[in-house]
Amino acid sequence: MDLATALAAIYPPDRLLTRASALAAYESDALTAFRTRPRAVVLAETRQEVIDTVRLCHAAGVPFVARGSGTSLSGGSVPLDDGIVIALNRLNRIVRLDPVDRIAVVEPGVINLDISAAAEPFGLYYAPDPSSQSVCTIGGNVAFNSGGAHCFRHGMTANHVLGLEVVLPDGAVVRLGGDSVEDVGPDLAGLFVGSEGLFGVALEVTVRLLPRPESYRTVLASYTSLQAAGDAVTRIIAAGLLPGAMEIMDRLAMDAAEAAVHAGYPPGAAAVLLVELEGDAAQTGAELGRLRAVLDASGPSHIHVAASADERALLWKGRKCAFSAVGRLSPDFIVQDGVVPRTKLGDALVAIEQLSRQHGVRVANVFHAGDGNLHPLILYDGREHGALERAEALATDILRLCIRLGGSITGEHGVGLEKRAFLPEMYRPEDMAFMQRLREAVDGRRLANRGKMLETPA
Amino acid sequence: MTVSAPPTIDALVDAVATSAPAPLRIAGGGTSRPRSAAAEAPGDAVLDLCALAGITAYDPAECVVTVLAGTPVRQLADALAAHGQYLPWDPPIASAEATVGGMIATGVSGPGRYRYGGVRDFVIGARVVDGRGRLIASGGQVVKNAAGFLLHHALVGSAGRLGVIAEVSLKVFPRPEATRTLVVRTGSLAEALGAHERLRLANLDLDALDLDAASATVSARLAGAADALDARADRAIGVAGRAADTCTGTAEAQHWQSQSLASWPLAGATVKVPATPSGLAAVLDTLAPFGPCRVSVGGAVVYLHTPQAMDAIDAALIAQHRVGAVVRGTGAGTRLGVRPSPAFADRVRATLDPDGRFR
Ligand SMILES: Cc1cc2nc3c(=O)[nH]c(=O)nc-3n(C[C@H](O)[C@H](O)[C@H](O)COP(=O)(O)OP(=O)(O)OC[C@H]3O[C@@H](n4cnc5c(N)ncnc54)[C@H](O)[C@@H]3O)c2cc1C
Ligand SMILES: Cc1cc2nc3c(=O)[nH]c(=O)nc-3n(C[C@H](O)[C@H](O)[C@H](O)COP(=O)(O)OP(=O)(O)OC[C@H]3O[C@@H](n4cnc5c(N)ncnc54)[C@H](O)[C@@H]3O)c2cc1C
Repeated sequence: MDLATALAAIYPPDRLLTRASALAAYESDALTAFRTRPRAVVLAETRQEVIDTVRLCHAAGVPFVARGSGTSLSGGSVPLDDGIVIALNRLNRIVRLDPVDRIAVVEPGVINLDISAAAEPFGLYYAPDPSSQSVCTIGGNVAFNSGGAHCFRHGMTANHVLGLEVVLPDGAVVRLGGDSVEDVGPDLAGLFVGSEGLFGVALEVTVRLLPRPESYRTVLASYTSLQAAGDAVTRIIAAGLLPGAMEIMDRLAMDAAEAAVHAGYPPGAAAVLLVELEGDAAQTGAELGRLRAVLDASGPSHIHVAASADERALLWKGRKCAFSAVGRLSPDFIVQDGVVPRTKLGDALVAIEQLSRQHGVRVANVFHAGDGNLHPLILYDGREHGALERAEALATDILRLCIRLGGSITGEHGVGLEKRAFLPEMYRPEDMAFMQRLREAVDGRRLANRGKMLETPA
Repeated sequence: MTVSAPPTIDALVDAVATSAPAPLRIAGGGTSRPRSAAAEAPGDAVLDLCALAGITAYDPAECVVTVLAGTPVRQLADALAAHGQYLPWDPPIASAEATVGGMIATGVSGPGRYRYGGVRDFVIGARVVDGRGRLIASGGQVVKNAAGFLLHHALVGSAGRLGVIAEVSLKVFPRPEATRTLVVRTGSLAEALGAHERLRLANLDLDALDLDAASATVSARLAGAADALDARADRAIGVAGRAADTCTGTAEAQHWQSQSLASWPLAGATVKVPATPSGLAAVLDTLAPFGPCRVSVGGAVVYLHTPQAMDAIDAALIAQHRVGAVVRGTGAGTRLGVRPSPAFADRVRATLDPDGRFR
């Protein structure tokens, strides 16, 4: 029996897409430069369907890619032309939410923000908060070890996933980790996280939930230079403070956000730093005094403490929509994602400004300053001859800058298709060879998300 | 049996390669179990990591430290303390000889894990030597990094079976300005569990929450700004609903020491059983017949000290669908309870140790 017939035996026609018009939506993800039409798309509704599909693909030697919401910014969910897309959006049940044990057991297609929404009546939330959290799925988050604005204090997805049920690329089903924050044996759930779909498909994810902090204190400081904002972050850490989030936006990013949501960012500033303290009210009250003192000494042009929950929400809304808002400034843009040691933020920003001038390409900067995670938004007009190439050249230079400064080529968007060529610049040949060996041991036929993260050896 | 104590990573790589195909035993500080001739066969090669020590890089402003595996945990903690920083998962460092490599390999966290997470949440990179003497790096020295497979995660709890950890990079935090501990002594285990649960569910931002079953005592630590602690302690005492002693400074340190595994005799074995708060009473019921129990990390783990053989404990844990391991004393490193599905673990292990050398 050929694969098409076998799939038709599992899926009713409305959940087995093979016509070009139906496949179009699955050709690419949020990085639209890459585009491939797959052989077929299956819309799985049960775990067993996913397992059966993987087993069929394995038997037939056909590559497959899992897909959540397709918001990957690195081409992670782009299919192969002879491959199958296993769409998981309909596998979106919250299996169990336990307010006493503070865990949620969810299917992979559950939207990140839906977990927090379900936990909200119990005063709990799911901490990792990528800007795309209202659309991206937990399965995608697991594959990329997604981050957000709170990673220095709270960690990334890996630090919130306690257990996983996974179908390996050959169809074997395993459980990794468990339901407790403590475990015995190697942290294999922690190894599966960030594997970009190369180790198989996550079928069920157990995450921990945190109690909502009793209070937040959100402060906005503006500066006449980006570097001064970066330096303020270093001073805050040196003072022994541990804010939940520290975010920086430059003028261009602020203008975009202002135009979109009128967040009230100060006009005229070159950069703003958003700092948020969280926790017990007495504690954050005491910390606020210390934070003010540190900020006052950091040479700001303006400091503003959010006076109400609404004001706080507005400041955050501006930050969270900055990516999409930049679309108002430029017909096209590339979202770059790189990391530098936090103490080198200032150097990195100066260097990016220089590169931007050198290439004659505008860059808007939005970043998770607490953890050195840069998100330069590289603006270009695709209709203009050579503009995309110039933008890509700049994007490449920024990645090499991150490597040179001792950082990483990706903090949270993953390697995917986009950065495959750069991984060997960050790691030595021996490290790359290990990754290839591990991949082969888990997936001897290289069927799971073939072509991503690791270049296929010739 | 040959013993080598390589002082550099190059020498370690060499020692692993040249001792092939002998079985390898990795020894850190030996605090989980004394090295015994009985366990080591004549043909074994023992790698003593204690000479591979020292801090490779530490920039306090970065809150990241890179350290060789044989470095004593206490030495690392002291170096951090000199800059007002600490390991937030609060590893039980009472025994000065435990090494950083041993801490990672056993995946050990202390009561402080309750607030910010355990050792698994703070390892951001590692260098490891596999069974064929190949040095492999994963992660890096930045706190956010999604590039490549996160092998350093799998080293946490690997018990020396995946490779020799040579060096690790850790995220560290600023040490809280002040701490204070509430000690709530109750009349029965049921009462203690009640107080524990109230403290856990109230939004108090506790730094640590432990329970000693034998003495029906609950210990809750607050950490943060000194001028906020009075108000926070008053609130916590109100929640505990019972007279509570508070302690600080040396008395506080001594109290936590008395609640740690250090207060249990070396003879016998200490068993670790991951738990969940809702299943806590059942786990305690299961383990109590075998010896004294302590609960740590807000109910996420139960420790049992027992002179008994492991068969009955193993069977009891399997019946409860729980996992466990011996973490100190006779048989340290032995897995108990439900065994995990091997398919993925075996493939990871075969990649790092194709000749099956790590014992
Ligand atoms: C506007 C915007 C803002 C963003 N902001 C952030 C941010 O702040 N932080 C951040 O980290 N990311 C951010 N992202 C990137 C993206 O949202 C994340 O990478 C997200 O985790 C992808 O989820 P998804 O459901 O869309 O996954 P997809 O794009 O569908 O898939 C992503 C990868 O995961 C794999 N995958 C999906 N499901 C599974 C599964 N069940 N098992 C195994 N593999 C699976 C896919 O094969 C693919 O390789 C942003 C994206 C956009 C468009
Ligand atoms: C006072 C005290 C309190 C304790 N409290 C706890 C507790 O609360 N919870 C808990 O779980 N445990 C606890 N333990 C056990 C503790 O986790 C271990 O004793 C300690 O972490 C082991 O460190 P070590 O350097 O002595 O390693 P060793 O005892 O020498 O080795 C332990 C294991 O790690 C492996 N190993 C060591 N170094 C490396 C390396 N570089 N690379 C790869 N593998 C390596 C060894 O092969 C062995 O399997 C306690 C121990 C003591 C003495």
